[in-house]
Amino acid sequence: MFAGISVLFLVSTFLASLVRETENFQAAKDVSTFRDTLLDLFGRIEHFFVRVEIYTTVPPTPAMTGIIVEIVVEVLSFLAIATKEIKRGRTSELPMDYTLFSSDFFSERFLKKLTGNTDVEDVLRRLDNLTQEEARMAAAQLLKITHGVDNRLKGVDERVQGVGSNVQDVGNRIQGVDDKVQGVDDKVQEVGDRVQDLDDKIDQVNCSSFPNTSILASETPDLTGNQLRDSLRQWLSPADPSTNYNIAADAHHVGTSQWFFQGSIFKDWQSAGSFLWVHGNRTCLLAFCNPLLLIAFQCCSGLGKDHSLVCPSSSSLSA
Amino acid sequence: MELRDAGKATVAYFYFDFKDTDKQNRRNLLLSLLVQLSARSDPCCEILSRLYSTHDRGAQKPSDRAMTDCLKEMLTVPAQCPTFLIMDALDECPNTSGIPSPREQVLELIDELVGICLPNLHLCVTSRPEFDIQTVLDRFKSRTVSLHDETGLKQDIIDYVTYVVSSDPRMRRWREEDRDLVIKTLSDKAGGM
Repeated sequence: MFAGISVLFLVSTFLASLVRETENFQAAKDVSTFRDTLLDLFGRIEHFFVRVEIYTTVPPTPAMTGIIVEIVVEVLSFLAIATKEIKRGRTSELPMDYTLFSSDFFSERFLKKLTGNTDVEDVLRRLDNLTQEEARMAAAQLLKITHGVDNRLKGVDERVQGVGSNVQDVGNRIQGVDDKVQGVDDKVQEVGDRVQDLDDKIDQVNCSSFPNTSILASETPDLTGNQLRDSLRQWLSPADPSTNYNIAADAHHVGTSQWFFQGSIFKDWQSAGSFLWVHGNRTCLLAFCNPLLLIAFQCCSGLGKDHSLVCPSSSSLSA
Repeated sequence: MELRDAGKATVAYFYFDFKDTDKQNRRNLLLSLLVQLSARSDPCCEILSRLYSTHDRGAQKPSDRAMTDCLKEMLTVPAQCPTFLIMDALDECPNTSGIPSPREQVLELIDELVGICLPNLHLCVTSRPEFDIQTVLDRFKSRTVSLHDETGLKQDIIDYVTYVVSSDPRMRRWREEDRDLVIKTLSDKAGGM
């Protein structure tokens, strides 16, 4: 559709330019100069329609649309006037043909014909004003678009800053998480230390529960258990009661004291922690104590197993 | 329950001896008991080792007080098995000199040991029935055996004298009535020996 409109307005543009030059250079006698001016105007109108094509793809503002419509109306008005004049001229002057617009002769005569037609002059003047308005409106619209783009750019910039803030915030949170991980790590280390302390305490408890080994290891590392006992014995140097025991054991008579060890007093003393006092004269005691010890040693430590129960000698009795 | 059924037990004993001056006082008694107990028990050995360490590793001798505390610690070891302490012939510990006398010191020790009422401690003291000993030990209201009154012991003595008279080669050549007289006389008089 716009192609057809373009062809139509090529004609009108040519005519409008021709009229305008006629108006501006009414006193001029050089027809070739007119023709150049007309071609210039033709180009300007052509450029307007090129812009109209752009406006159809990029919707213009309502104000711009009004201007464009007015321009088209004025061009059509001019075309109608020019058509009427051409028809009038063709009947009286020369026949119209396709060489009309390329003929300098016709142009000269046609321009002269149009000169002085006030309707055409008004249309052309308005058309010129409208094209100027169009250009201004386009500039204003461009300014508005530019400003809108600028605002959008500012919005985009703010959003970018917002994203930057969010990234910073995320970074801070990651740092916080990192700190917490470090805190957890420290606590794990702390728990480890406490476990170590507990372990040490358990060792100490074990040492105190089984102190013999710890003493042997820490204080007398060069002594075995037997060596330690020898050292202790050497330190205290006690009297040896086994000499008395051996003398008494040799003096013991088989079968004596059985009445005591089978009695209730001895069995009570043996089973329950208690104190027992056995008193009598020396002979009686000689007959008593060693069987007691003998039984104790045989049962508890194996000592005394080699002692046989024999009769006391007469010297023991006299003692 | 027989002693042999009691499982692990510890025995320590001491003979007071009027013929041996190393066996006549409390210190002699304590030294002997500590060494015996430590020789037969690891926990007791450890306790005595600490006493050793606190006395400059044996450079100093322990006091009677320190040894008494050490003995009590040994007797109160939680896992300590039954402990039998036997002190023979306490009357041979002299009471003629010193305030307190050695015998009084031993009696003090016995009093202290019995006083802590240890269920695993079995303490037996033998002696002549002398007055000062009887005065202290009767306070415990514990089991007492008077051998002089025991018919079982008298029979032991009769058996023993009969055995000697009948087995001795020279006595066997005696007339029978002479041997009976000897046996009867010795048996009757034995209680006063």
